Amino acid sequence: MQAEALKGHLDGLILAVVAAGPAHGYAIIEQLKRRSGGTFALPEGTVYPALHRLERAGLLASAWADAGGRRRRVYRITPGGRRGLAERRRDWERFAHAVEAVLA
Amino acid sequence: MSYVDDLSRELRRFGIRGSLERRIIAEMADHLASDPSADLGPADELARRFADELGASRSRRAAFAAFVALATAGVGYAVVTVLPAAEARVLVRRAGLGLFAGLTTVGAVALVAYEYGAILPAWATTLCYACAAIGAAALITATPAVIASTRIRVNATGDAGDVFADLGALVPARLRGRPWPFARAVAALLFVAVTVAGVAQSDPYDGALRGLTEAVAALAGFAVLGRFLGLRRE
Repeated sequence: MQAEALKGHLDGLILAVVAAGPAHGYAIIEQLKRRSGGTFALPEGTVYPALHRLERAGLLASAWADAGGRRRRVYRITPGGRRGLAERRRDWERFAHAVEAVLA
Repeated sequence: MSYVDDLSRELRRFGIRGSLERRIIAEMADHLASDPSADLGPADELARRFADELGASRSRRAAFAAFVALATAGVGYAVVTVLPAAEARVLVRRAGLGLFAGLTTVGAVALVAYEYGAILPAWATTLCYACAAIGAAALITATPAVIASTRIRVNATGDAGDVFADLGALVPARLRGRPWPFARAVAALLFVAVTVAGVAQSDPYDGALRGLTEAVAALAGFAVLGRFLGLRRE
């Protein structure tokens, strides 16, 4: 799917993946690909700036972890992030329902 | 030169340095170690995306920190979005002017306490000095954030908006999109407020004179600094 079409939904997708469990950037990108059946093969360069932005907005938190001698930044969702995700899910359900009604 | 070396150079070119630069480089290095064939895109494009995302949030936080330090609440904390470069510049100017005005104000408070110390109650003098010290400390603490936000070069296109973009529905409908009538209305409100304060102090003439001065100063400030601070477009 084109990156442009995903732009408005990227934050919600990232929050949904991280809500399932703390993960580093590479794992988040791989989870997005896997859970979407390969549809969301996002350019890595779009995800990392979004992760930083979500952290500054208080929706994610992160910390360094040791991974076999390498330093890895692991992200986890915050309570504010869970509320943000719930809101985005509601917005998506309303949107999808409306689109289905029009296209039917 | 490796990709991370290029990225490091590009991040610094966009004003991202220090611990933030080191963190981004470490994350990208870890990503490339996990997948050596990963395509992170051109280093300058990736650095620009970081600058666009982070430049906006730093500008807004710096402006917010300055106003909190002045204890003048009323600045909405916008959710961070990618701002046009013009708007990011305006936010930095406002934060800088806010810091300058704040430091001038706390300096004036301390000066009043010094000049009138002999006739003010002791507790009032102490309170003035304490407020000036706390205000100055908070403003000085906010200064690095404002300076840091000037270094990040934002590239997103678009205009800076104006006072109507800032205030939204707070502006009466008949004044929206009309900067000079809005400025005159604000000046008139200032005149009334300061005059009423003079009446309350049993000196209506002095109140009206000070009110007129405030109104003229507000209009002059809008004329001279309006475009610089992104209050009006022309």
